[in-house]
Amino acid sequence: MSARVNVGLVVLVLLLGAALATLALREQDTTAAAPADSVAVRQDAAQRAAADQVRAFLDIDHTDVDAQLEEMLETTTPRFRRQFAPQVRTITAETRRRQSTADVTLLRVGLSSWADGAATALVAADTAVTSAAGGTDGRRTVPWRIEVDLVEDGGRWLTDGLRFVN
Amino acid sequence: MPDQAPRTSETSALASPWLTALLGVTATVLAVLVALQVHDDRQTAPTRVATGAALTDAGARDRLLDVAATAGTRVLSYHHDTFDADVTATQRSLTADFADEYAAAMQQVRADTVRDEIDQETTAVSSAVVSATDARAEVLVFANQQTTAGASGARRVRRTRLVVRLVREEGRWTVAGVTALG
Repeated sequence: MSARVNVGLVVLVLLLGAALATLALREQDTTAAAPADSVAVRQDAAQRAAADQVRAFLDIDHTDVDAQLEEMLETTTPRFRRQFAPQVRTITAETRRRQSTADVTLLRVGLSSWADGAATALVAADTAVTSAAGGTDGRRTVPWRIEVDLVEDGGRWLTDGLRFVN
Repeated sequence: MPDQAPRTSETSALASPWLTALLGVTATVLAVLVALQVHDDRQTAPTRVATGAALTDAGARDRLLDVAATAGTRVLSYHHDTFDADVTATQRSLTADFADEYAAAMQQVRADTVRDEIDQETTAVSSAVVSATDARAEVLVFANQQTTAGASGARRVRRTRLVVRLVREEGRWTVAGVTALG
C-alpha cells in the first residue's frame, strides 16, 4: 500500500515539476519583452519630467518667486540655465510688480520625439492668474502650449529647452 | 508456499514511510509554487490584455502622430462650397460611432456655413503621443484654426489644443474622438 502511495507521489511530484517548469518558461518569455518595457518606463519618466518642469515654471507666486525659480532650475541643464538667466530676472521683476499668483492645471503631456537619451515633449496647461496690480483685476485663465526639450543625465531627465508654441 | 512473496530491500525502501513523508512535502511545496505562479499570471494577464503592448518604436509612433495630426485636424476643417464632400471624406478616417457623432454635429453648422460662406482650415503645428499601445492611443495636437467668412470678409485665427483618441481597426489607426481643450 505504502509503495503504491509513494509511486503515486513520485508521479505527482513529476507532474508538478513539469507544470512549474512550463510556467517558469512562460515567465521568461514575458521577461524577454523587457527592453520595450524599459523604453516605455523611460518615456513615462520623460513625460513626468516635462510635466513637473512646466508646473514649476508656471506655478508662480509673487511672495516666493525667487525660491520657486531656483527650484525649477535644479532640474535643468547648465546650458538652459545660462540661456534662461535673463528671463528669470524679467519674470521675477514682473511677478513682483504685478503681484501675480498663478495656479496651474496640467491638461495633457505627450512626447513629440524620442531618441536614446533625448526627448521633446508637448505640454498643454492652463493657469488661473490673479494679479493685484497692473490693471488686471480678478482671475483670468491663460491657455498654454509649451514645448520642452529634455536630455537624460544619470537616470534623470533635465530640461534643455522650453518654448511657447505659436 | 507463503501467500505473499518475501519483501525485497527495494520494495521495502519504496514503501518507506520516510519516503512518503519526503515526497509528500516535495509535492506540497511544488503545488504551492505552481499555485503562486498561476496566481501571479492571473494578476498580470488582465492588464496586458486591457492595455496592449506599449507603443515604443520610433517609426510606429511617428506614423501614429501623422495620422492623428492629419485626421484630427480634418475633423475641424470644412469649406462652404464643398461641405458635404468634406464631411463624407472625413468620416472615412473615423470609427463608426464617432463618424455618426461627427455627422450629427456637422449638420448643426451646415446651414450657417453655407449661408455665410464660412471656410475653416485647421492645421497641425505640433503633435505628441500622450499614451499609446498597439491597440489604442491618445495624441495631443497643437493646431491653428483659421476661420474665414466670405460674406463679411472676417478672418479669425484661433490657437487650440486638441486631444485625438485613436483605435487600431483592421491594422490602421482610426480616430475615435477629438476633444478641444480650448
